[in-house]
Amino acid sequence: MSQELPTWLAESPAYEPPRDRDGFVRTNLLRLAALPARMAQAAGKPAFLDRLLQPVPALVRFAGLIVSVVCVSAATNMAFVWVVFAAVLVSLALRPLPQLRATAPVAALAALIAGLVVLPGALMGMAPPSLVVRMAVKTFCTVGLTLGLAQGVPWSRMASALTGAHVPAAVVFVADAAMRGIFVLGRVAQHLNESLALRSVGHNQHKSGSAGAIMGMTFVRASIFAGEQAEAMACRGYDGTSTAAPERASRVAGVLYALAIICVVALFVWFERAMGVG
Amino acid sequence: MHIPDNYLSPQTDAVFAVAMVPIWAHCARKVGKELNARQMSFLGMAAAFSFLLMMFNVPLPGGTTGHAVGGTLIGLLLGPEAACLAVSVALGIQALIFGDGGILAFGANCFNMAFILPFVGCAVYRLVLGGEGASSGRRMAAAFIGSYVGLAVAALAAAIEFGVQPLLFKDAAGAALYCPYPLSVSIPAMMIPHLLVACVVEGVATVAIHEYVLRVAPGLVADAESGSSSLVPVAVLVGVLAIATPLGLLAEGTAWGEWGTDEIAEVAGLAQAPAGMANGFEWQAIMPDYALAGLPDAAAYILSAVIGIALLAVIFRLAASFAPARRSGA
Repeated sequence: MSQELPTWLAESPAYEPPRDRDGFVRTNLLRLAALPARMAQAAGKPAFLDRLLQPVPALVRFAGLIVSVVCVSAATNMAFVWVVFAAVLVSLALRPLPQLRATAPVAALAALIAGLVVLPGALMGMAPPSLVVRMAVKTFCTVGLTLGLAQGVPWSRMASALTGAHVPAAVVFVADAAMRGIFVLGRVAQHLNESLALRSVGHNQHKSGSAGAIMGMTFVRASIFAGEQAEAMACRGYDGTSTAAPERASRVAGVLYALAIICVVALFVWFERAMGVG
Repeated sequence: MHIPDNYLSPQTDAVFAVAMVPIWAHCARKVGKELNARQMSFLGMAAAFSFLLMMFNVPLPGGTTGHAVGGTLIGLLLGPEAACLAVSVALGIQALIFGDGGILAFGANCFNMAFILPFVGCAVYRLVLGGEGASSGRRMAAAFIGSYVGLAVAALAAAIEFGVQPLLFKDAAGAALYCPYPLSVSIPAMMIPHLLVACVVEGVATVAIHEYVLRVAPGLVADAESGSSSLVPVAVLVGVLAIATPLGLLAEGTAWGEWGTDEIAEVAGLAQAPAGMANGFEWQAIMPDYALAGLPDAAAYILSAVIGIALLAVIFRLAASFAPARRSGA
């Protein structure tokens, strides 16, 4: 005796999820959240140039960065900027792939934005067209130099260097905790985003709510981490003072690096004085 | 052989730009499918070779200058499709930053130097080489002949593009609007110096660099099955070539068909520059003619080479990072 399937059971279970434009959540938020973690991951593999400059004290490298950025920004002769641009490009080309991917697109994007900011003025005749290129190249150089230092010098070394430079311990501690927090919370936000992307089935009508929830949850986790950190510090007898271990660096390498920076300044002055605006 | 802006009519420029789109698409698809991440990085080096070779100007009969391109060389190492992309990117950087070759004429320049040159060069190479197991002497001869013919055919294409302009684009009085030279002038003017000197330079450079790469890093070649794939020896060669680029300044004069609008009337013996050229599009390059105000020519030339090489390396390494993981192991 045969039994017929009920019509509702005989129907094809074909399921077509409604089309949803959740690209914003999937790509933009996820990518932004993953950025600190990616930077940390990229910083793990030292580049050839960073290995070469490892003995140089972090503070000297930081001072070198400031001097270079000031020279590039103040340069009226583009020849100097092109020399720095070539140096930044070469240093980028020599970086391992993860570092290159974390650096070059960011510097290029910053240059693009700087160029776009000046573009309307150039189009309306209020600024020379060359200013667009000038701004873009200068921005590329300064961002490239800064990211290069950020990837070449671990934050722990920078904290030690700041202590050595008599920066108040409280400032160093807050900056140190903030840096660690950015990386940890970046990973948290990334995990939350991945969970959201995996569980998003069908049409999500509350995208802004989802994004807000991720940010809110990240904030809640931040306060939990802060509480846990405070308890841990109390357990270890923290009495309000913090000290960073002195940085182990070569004095000779520091002097050589400082000489190189002086050469950069001399080149800047020579280009400005001998060649004028170009 | 870098056609500047306004030598070709905008219609001609548009035709070549449109013609190049499917070629680039095909080449990008093929390269993305066949080359692994390491070979993609090497493609950046190969583009740097091409960039540098184009900076080495050699004096040609008639007081003009010419240069090798290296399109066949890249084609022999990584395939003509990879060569097409590499030379196109090198030409793009030359046009945008150094004003070498036109922005509007970019499609035409790519058609000649990035498409015709490597594809013809590689086809002739295979024809001369014959089957598998050819001797090294035959391989060198095939590389020389292939690159020689490739550059010659590319120069012929450029000469025809120049020469048809006065036939197709004239004003009411019958005067040429763009390049004023007819085919009877442009073909011999381009072909004789190229056949006598530039193609020989292209052939010698191709054979020398091809053999060098086969000896020091055979694993980098597209159809290689084993051998070293270290980029270091190739990078060293690129560095040496970059330092030697000021040798290209020894050749005085301008390449045929690359005169500025202010020079063309005098060179062509005209009362004034053709109307289409005089009123045409003008691109303000950042470092025109690889020179920087106030900087010695040799220093500016080396700086240009370094910027070009580093840019190409960054672009192709970033492109390599998008190569699927399953192919990145080589």
